[in-house]
Amino acid sequence: MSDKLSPAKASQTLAFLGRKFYDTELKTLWERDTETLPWLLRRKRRKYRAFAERELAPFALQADQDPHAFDVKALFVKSGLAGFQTEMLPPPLGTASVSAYQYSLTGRPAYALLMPQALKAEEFCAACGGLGLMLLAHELGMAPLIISGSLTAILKWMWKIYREINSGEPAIAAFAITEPGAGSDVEDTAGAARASINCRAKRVPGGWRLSGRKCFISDGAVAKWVTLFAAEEGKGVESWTCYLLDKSMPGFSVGRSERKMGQRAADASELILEDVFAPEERVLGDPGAGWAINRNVLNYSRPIVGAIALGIGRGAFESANAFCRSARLGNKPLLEYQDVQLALADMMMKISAMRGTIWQAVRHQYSFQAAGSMAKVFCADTSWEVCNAAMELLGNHGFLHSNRVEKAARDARLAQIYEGTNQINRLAMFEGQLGSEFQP
Amino acid sequence: MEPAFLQNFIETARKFAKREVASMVGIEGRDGNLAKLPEILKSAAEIGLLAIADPESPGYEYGVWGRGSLSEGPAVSLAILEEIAKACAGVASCLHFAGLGALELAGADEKSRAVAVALFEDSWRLDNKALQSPPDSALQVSSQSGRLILSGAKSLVMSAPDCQGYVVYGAGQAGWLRVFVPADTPGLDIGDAGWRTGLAALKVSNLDFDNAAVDAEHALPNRDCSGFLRRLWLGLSAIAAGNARAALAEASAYAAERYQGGTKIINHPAIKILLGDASSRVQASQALLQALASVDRDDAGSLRRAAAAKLRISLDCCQAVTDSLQALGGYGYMEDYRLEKRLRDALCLKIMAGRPDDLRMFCAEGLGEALT
Repeated sequence: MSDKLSPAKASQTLAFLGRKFYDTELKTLWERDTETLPWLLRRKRRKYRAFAERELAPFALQADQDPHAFDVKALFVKSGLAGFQTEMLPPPLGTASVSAYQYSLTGRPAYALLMPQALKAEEFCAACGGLGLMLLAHELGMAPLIISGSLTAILKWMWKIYREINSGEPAIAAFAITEPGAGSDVEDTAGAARASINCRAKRVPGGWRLSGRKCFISDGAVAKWVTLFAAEEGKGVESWTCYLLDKSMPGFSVGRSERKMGQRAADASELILEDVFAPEERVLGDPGAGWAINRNVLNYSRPIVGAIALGIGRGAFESANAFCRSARLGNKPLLEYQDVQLALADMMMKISAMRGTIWQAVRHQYSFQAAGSMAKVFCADTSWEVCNAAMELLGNHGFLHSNRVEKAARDARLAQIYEGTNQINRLAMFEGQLGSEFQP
Repeated sequence: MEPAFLQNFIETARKFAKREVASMVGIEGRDGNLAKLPEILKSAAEIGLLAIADPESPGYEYGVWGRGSLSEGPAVSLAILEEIAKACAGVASCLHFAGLGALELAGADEKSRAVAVALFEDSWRLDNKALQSPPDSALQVSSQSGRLILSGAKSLVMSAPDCQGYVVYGAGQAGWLRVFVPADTPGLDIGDAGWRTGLAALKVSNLDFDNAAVDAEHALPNRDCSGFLRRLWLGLSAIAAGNARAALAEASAYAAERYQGGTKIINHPAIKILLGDASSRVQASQALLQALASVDRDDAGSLRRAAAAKLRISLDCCQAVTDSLQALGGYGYMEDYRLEKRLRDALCLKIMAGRPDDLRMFCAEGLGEALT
């Protein structure tokens, strides 16, 4: 192509105002998107990225290949001291900006509550889906404290856990809903009505006795705190109650740690409760409010799962892009071949679409069922496509661990499954808008 | 070929897969107990499923890519590969690449060693031009004092673990040359490609030839690479189809037992859609394979059809495996049910031996030829 016809050169032929409207500046999409954010979020986004590039990316392959040898608690402490593990509430209960709550409580434009979490999820998971999930699952574990709406719980427990993390303790929290016989059931209204619930709570003087098992619990083995849901003896999910437990409680133990296809650095474990006593103060919200807490936690967590998928997809794109810049075919870099350019452009477009979807989803004053599920499903499916395209682009080199794209594909696949399979989430979208879009 | 004759091989492969291969994969660990692999391959050779370039070996004629495939076509080889892949795509790949190596020695002095074929390089991509004559950047073969000197590199060469030598495609003065290079040749550096997604049973190596010298008698009769490529793509397609068939069967069995919302999950429309779509993809792949198994010609059209089959079958079968995995939800993602291994293997099968876009462009070049 003639240099004179390039957009940058051609723009010089325009008058001053014409040039102003013709943006030919060489900037990454990441940078351009960052510039659209309010100042505070721009700053946060750059901080998340710097942390991820320094503390996650260099260890991603090692933590994936040999997860048990990697000290995830030390990483959690670093993230905690940087203020990244306590961003659900503003000081003195956390490190969130007051601006986030300004919007959530008043509807006045500052930025939405979930936006920092979405930005953080993308940055951490672009570096490593597994380590990213390990850090992000903590806030999922903490979410029931706020979602329960119990001021006492918020003031007492959020304050305590914030202080622990702030003093360098790996006070990780985990969210425990899934059971061996009830995976999708606990994510879906129709399924829940007939679910076979294993985790049971029995009222005793001064509190509750809990027994049963939970499985696939992210951070289950490394967590100190667990927000766990159990049904009353002889009752169904309508009696679900949320308890804040700590793993040092007598009768509480960790079963098997799962061996997963991807996101391997993030633990997923079975939790076993044998007559664990939970005092009344450990009940979050009222007894029987567990189902509502669970569903609303998912409304807020699903956009973040979408952002995790976005990050993993972006990581795959960046790795593929780097490979195509350095690998040569014939007498020129792979990047100069048009078929390669077509594939990279397609991946970049999908990443931009995912980011647009997430940022739109978290702009709502309060997250809701359809918004959360749409963001999660779209990004999980699209990220899987992007990671597959990255593998295809690298050909035989795509399946080598050292090139990172195969890891990204394995990591991305989980986003189509956890927090409700994408099939369950599609039904959730319909249920959420039943009576509006889908008025019978 | 008589159906009963073919069925006989299918039955042998099925029994072998169930008895020997499934037990290896069933052991805990990401890819099963790979320490058992040499024993399994030895057993495959003894019952005639693994082809070795030794007329005395049981698989010489009708093992995977045995000499019989030259006269009677690929049907037996594809059927065996598909059956073995139902138990483990990695073991099937070992048989596939070992057989391709053995067949490359046809017409030469028999060398009963396990060999691999080294064709692909990072520096060039397969197209019409490269098929006809080696690109400038291809590995160079020159003659010097009665010896052949090789300089250059071959990337990600696939073989069974006991590979003892390579049939190397290189650029000679008059075009492509095939040279047999023993693994212990001075100047040949063999590097392991490292940890990878799947097909863990396969050995994957990078070869560096630094003026590696072999006797001139190691030059093999001149033959272009189209026969090798056709078999390579068809075999990988059969492995992808076998892997996907088994994934679908395993997901269907799970869906028929597992309950959600008070009913078996096979009754949920979401699962029916996933598995129904997977089934249609697997059936279409099998139909395409069968159509190509009965035709055996070393012409340009057959090569394009094999490329098209590899492209379509590996993509559809990968989709069928990922849909099957989805039916299991969280359990599908865990190592225990082996669906995740099948997906990892399917991802490898999709991208190896030519990027999907390379195959697309290669198929399109055939359309151009047809028009002119």
